[in-house]
Amino acid sequence: MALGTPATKPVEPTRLDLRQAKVLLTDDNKASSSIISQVLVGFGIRLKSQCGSAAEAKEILKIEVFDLILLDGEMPDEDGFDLAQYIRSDPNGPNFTAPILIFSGYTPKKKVLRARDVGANFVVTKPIVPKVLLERIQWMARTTRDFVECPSYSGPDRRYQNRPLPEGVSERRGDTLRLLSAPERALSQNDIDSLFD
Amino acid sequence: MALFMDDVRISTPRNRLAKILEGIGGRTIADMSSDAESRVAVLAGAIRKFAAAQVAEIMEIHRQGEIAMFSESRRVSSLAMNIAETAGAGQMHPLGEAARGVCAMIDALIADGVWHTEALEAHLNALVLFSCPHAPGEKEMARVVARLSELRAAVGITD
Repeated sequence: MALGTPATKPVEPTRLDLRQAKVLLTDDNKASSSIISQVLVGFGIRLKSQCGSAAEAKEILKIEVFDLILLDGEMPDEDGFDLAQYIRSDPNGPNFTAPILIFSGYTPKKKVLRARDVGANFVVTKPIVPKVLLERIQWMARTTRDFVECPSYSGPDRRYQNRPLPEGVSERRGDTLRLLSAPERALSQNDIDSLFD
Repeated sequence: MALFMDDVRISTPRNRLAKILEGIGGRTIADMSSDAESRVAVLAGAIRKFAAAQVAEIMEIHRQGEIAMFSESRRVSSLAMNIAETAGAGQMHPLGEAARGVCAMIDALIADGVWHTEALEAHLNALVLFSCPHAPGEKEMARVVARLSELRAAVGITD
């Protein structure tokens, strides 16, 4: 190192500790549920409740407080979107403001917008890529976003976007408009994130 | 509906997940992801069996004829979704893509009443081909997946 050059401190990678995080996973697909469950164990999550239907989840949601709620978007009868709406519809419920993440194996724009409108915090595509899921969890842990309650919507306040613009994007609204003007199609994880940010 | 300020409440609830940033015994994202991936890799064999069983059930409905396929379309979509949700974790990405195509076609049927027998048949053939023990090579499967996407676009189902 040349004399006079300021020493740069190596950047410490972010460390997360999910051992005390209480998580609810609701998924009717047993194979998918096993995959996600193993991912959560790999993350160190120990306090985990698993349900195979929205009806089963509703019973637990009435009495237990969760730090994170993971819902499958596609379930027979009541799906994850309905369940998210149920959680956000009861201001006195113990999980009214809890972070909600919806998984979906098929993500056309209409589904992503539905998730956003029922007050979910994020949509993540299935099959789960552990790093993608973990980054979204970290994102939710860091967020300072307010919570809005009004007759037509309860959920994260999305009027302001607080992430820096991605490289090569000159303005956020223009980027979102281009995405929304695209024909009906399955969205990539990046497209989905931009609708939630 | 008129909306008044009295109807809107904005609050800053305690971030329940913030505690995961504060733990002393935390691990890096790379370590945790790697641990999770290893655990999922152990399930690969079971995922392949599961996917093959879903394909078999779809083909059983298909064997009963077009009327059965039409009337059982939601069941077929649900089985295809089961595949789409898991196949990638069993290193069967092309199978997952073909299954997603089946979901898109049945979505179009439910939303717009559009039914394309031949296009659906092509997707089902791909499901069988991709899930058999002697599935073609990666390049060949990628070509089939791309063709299926073109086929859906040609019948007005863009994904």
